[in-house]
Amino acid sequence: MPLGDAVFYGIAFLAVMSSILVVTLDQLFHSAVFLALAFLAFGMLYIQLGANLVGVIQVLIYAGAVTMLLMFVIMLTKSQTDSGSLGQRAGLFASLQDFAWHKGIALLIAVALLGIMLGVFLGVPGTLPAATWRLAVQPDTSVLKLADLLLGQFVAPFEMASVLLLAALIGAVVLARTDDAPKETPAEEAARKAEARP
Amino acid sequence: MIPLSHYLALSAFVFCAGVYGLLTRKSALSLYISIELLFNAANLNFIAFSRHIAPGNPAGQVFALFTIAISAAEFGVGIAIILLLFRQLRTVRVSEVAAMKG
Repeated sequence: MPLGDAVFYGIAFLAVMSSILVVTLDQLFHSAVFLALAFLAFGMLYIQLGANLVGVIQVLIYAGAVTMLLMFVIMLTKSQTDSGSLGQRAGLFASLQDFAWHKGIALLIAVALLGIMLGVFLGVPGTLPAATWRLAVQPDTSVLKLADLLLGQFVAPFEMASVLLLAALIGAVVLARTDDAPKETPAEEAARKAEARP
Repeated sequence: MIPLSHYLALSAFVFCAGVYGLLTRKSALSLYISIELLFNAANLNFIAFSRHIAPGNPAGQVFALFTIAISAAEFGVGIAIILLLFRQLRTVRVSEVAAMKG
């Protein structure tokens, strides 16, 4: 097997294993760490497919920003485990140990969906070139083409995406804001009164 | 040479892991994590098809970039909603959030 193919199957194994761990681990923080690993594996796949810019953006936004924000919110909401149990059942595979019937049904649905998708996808013809390792040899022009497309053919959706991001930014601030101003301590109140006195 | 179908199969595996997570998880944050897996599986399909069908024309990469931007916007608003939920009800478990008000 050529090196490029072996790299693909290694990364694919990493991506599948870490995404399975993401949805089975009970500790939310462990889930978030394996999610970052899955994001990194996907970024490597994008770069292997020649989508260098998307790969870098994947690492910056998903593995960097999204995972970090997720970890902050896990800590802010004090949600240590998914099942809500603390301590004794919080082992590595606690959610596999308390196997319930609804999980069996969910697993059945997911495996059936996987069977349908694989049945369709494995019949798709065509091959993709493996990784070519030529980034250092010749200059990469895919980013130039991407810029031409983004600011040419797709300029209207591009601007709409920026408006959407702005709206989401404002919406998130409005939603997460607390209405009550911080109460001033008695010392601050006295200082303010002393300042206001002529 | 890697068959295109292997990329699609990989994205199907990750997508179904996300679906399993969406069906079994209890915390709203876990549901978010599962949704991010779905987004990434879809992105991989976009880029693999783009590379296969039109190697010189990265339009599929543009779609993937828009998906990333939209999922980032969705993630920010969703995180704000989860924080608000925690502040109001002191929980992020979706089964305990039965009423929108009161």
